[in-house]
Amino acid sequence: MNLLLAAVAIVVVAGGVIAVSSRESRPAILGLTLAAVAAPLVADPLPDMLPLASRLVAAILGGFLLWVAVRGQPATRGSRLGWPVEGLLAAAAAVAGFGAIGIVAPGPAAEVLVGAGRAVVAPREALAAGFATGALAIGPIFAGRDVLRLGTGLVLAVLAAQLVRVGLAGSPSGLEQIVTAGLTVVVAGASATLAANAVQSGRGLEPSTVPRPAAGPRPAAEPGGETGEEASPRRFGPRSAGRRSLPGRWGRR
Amino acid sequence: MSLLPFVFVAFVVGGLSLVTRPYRRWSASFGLVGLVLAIVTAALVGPDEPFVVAGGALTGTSFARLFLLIGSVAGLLLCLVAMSTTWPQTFPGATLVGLGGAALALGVVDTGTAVAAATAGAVVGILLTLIRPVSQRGLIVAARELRALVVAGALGLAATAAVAGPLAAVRLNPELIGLAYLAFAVAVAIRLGAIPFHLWAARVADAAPEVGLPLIMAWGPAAFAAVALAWADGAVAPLGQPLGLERGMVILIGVVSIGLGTAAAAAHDDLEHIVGYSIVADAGIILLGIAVLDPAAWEPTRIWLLAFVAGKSAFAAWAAAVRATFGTHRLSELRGWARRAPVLALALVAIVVAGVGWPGMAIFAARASVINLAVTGPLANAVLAAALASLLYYGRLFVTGVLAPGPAVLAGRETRPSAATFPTRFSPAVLDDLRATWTANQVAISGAVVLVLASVAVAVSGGGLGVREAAAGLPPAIGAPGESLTPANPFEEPSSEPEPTIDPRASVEP
Repeated sequence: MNLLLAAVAIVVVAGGVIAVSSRESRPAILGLTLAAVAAPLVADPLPDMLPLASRLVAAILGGFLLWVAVRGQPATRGSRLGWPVEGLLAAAAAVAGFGAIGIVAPGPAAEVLVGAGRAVVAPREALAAGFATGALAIGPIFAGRDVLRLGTGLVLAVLAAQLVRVGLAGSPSGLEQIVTAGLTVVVAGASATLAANAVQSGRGLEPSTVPRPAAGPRPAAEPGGETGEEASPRRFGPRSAGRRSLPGRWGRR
Repeated sequence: MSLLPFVFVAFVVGGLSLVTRPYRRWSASFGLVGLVLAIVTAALVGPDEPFVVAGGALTGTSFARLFLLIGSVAGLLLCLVAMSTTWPQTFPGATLVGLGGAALALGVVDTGTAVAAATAGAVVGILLTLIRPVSQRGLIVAARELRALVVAGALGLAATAAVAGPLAAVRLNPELIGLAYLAFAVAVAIRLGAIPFHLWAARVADAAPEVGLPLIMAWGPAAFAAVALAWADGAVAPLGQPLGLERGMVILIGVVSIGLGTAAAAAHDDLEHIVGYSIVADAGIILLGIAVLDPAAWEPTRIWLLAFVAGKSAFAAWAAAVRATFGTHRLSELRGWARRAPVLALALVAIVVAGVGWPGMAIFAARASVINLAVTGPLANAVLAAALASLLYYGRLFVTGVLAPGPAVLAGRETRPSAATFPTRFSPAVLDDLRATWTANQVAISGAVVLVLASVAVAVSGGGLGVREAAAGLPPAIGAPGESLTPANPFEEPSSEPEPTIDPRASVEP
């Protein structure tokens, strides 16, 4: 096991956990950006300078687009399970991924291949990070009405697929890195477009055709409720009763 | 190398059109000029040596040329229809970027890169679903669409990674090969909106404008399916695994899509749903082609892909023109439409010929070949009958059209061309005259454009424009450099890159 690769893989997974757990938009986007920045570094050999730069720029640009889109909407739905559960889920998936290389590609041929004149080494750390990131992405993708959370899950899914690819087939070509960078930006940009339109519609980040209160803190000026500061969600942790009360006449008395 | 100008034009001019979309005229101008340039550059694409860029390789093929040429022509004609009906501001830009993604997907040698490119190009299509003012329903539909696109892309990326390179046979479990194959096939089914993955596609048919449906539901998914077909025939089939269960599941999805998609198209009242479910039904044939895992299915499936995209573009354009002419999209309110709009009736005849075919036409033989290769025995006849049952919904459209005109049709716009405002001599007001002529003849022009698009579809379905030769050629992932027009055994073609070998140091067992 390469300790440096393992450390970078842990950064990727930690970023993913923050991204899916946080109930504030900015930490969620920061976590996602952290994961996207670190993901291309989980490779042996490292990508060339230009493809690596394109991945890093794409990660930062994707995060910036999301950041701009949700400037007026500090709260997102976050994980219902809380960050400890998400972290344990990611850890379990990472362990499974680390061991899966023996099932997916048994034998020494899986470790070192020589193709097109260069050694292709499939690092287990990438597969572990890919499995963990993929496990983290499942919840936001399939149970996310919040468009920012959906976008977070989709970007994580792209990162997971790319990490699994590195883990199984070795470092991709520079062209594939550049195209993946484009895919990351496009997915983040599309999610940002959805989020910006959702925020503009005044219904928060959760579009719905059914009239219901949006997620997030109640405005401080709302009569008959607590202040905006009290209603703002914490960064992490499972939801406790009464933390996010419903606005207006539906709120706590 | 011949593919690069097209990719450049598509991404740069398409991007400009999208960036300038708050400025309607600039955006439209960039888009229209870009589509004209795209037609020119697509015509220049041809089989050539791989162009190495950043460690990957791009190469032109006859199939890519025809696909991009038809796509660019259809995009431009759809723009003309949209200009005389409903103009989605993002349409030309999204079309160009989508075609750019398709060009990359069809041109790159590596399958993983192709999947990423096909997914990235298609994601831009969600802009078509977000029509201003953006409604809550539009947001939900766009979110579902984005989810389907990215999940399919991630599945495809993971599948191609699992079966990477010719050494997969010695280092992969057979079950995992089957799992990877099934994952990619399901990804294609999701992209095509095949039943049971059709919910997002049905909602998109509600929310997106008619002219946008081909890009979202046909062009992008067809490029993705072409990549999947090349991967299945080039990477999975040579492994020699029977994959009976996995192929059976893909065939089941294809057959169900054909049957239920046709039934839904025949039962629905909205034109958009009829177009959408007809796409779902025809997508079933593509899935059957992927399920065959035999080089014999290579050519007919790719013929079907080309005919599918051309025919569905014409059908969507027809629906847009009918809606713009009569102000309704409900078939029950369109009684007598064919009497009032004979050009559109003629276009629908051409669309039926292009979609159903006739013995001797390429599409007719391709459909029968794919079905007979995928399904054997009496079931093959039943599936073929279900595929030909598309005549039901086309027939329903015709029967409605020849009835006595209803109130909506009687109140519809004039479909005959008007020469009253046509400029007869040059004067300083000639531009105003031309604008007035355009405005007075929008309906007639859109009908004529639909007829032209339907004629292109008939030509493609009939095997013209070099469709058969292009479909028989090899994809860059298998056959680069150059192409072979003899698909007897495409896997004997030498690869452009040296064959990977097991490192002798690693193969020394203690």
